[in-house]
Amino acid sequence: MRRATKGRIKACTAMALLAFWASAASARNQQDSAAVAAKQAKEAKTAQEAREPKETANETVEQVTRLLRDFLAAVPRSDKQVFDHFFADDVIYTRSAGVTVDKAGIMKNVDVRAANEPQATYEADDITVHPYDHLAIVNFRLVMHNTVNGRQETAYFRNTGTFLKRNGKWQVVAWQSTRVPEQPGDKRAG
Amino acid sequence: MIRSRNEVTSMRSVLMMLRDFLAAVARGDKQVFESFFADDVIYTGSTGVRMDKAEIMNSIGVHAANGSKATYRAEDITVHAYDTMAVVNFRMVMDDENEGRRQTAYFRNTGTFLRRNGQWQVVAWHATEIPTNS
Repeated sequence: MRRATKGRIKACTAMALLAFWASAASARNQQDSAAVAAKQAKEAKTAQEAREPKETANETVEQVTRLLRDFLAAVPRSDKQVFDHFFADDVIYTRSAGVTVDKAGIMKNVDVRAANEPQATYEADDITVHPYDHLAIVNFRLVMHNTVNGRQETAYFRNTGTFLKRNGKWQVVAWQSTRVPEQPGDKRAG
Repeated sequence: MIRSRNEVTSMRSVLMMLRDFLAAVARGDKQVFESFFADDVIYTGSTGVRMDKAEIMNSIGVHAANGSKATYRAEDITVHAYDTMAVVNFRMVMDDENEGRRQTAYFRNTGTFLRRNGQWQVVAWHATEIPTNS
């Protein structure tokens, strides 16, 4: 809103100046137009560069989707090296219980998960990836299959991961999970 | 921890945006939502439902129609700034009133901000309700 007001003030000021400097306006306007056009072209080029990664968007989508699927397949093995590679050292991870942990907390939980849910397996569906230069947002539904007291159970979680590419390597810098109720209801704020 | 000037500037920018946004949510100010969320944002609400920008914008009207008097604030904020993007994690406190009784709910949120053409906007947002007993 502030920007809109500023824009209006700028427009009014520009109009007043144009009226006052009528005789000299023509030549200066041509220069101004050229400057504005050059600026717009530069901004458009910057925007284009921001949207178009050096490797194609499709490659980024393929890479992070593969990373995600490989990671989920490896989780039941509780291989700490896999977790260590997947999550960046500065990751911010929020569990479905609303608790936020750092990398050390994730690594500590590998053994806890293995002890509590030794038979659980994980897969991803309904995956959306938005690639940006060295950043990719991945949103998906995590499906957890588990066996509890001999009974098969399935739970669903909506997850968002933020992948960042540094030194040629994609890693997760943010992750959050929310349990999906069997019948999602209201879209209340949160 | 030593931070670069760019990092500090980015952190300040997104923190200011976050506080302005939360203050504006209660007013249901569509212009603030419009500039806060990028057109390609992926938003996951605390019920696990994913929304796009159009659905976020529609939900503003729903809140207003419900006569919600809720106010929102952020605490326990962490910002990790990287060049043209930043990750913000915080606990959102929602104060509401129901039949004359004050109610407070807590949500852990993560937002990913991206700077394009000099403007910071949210490209991913995810909320998880924190159970009251935790």
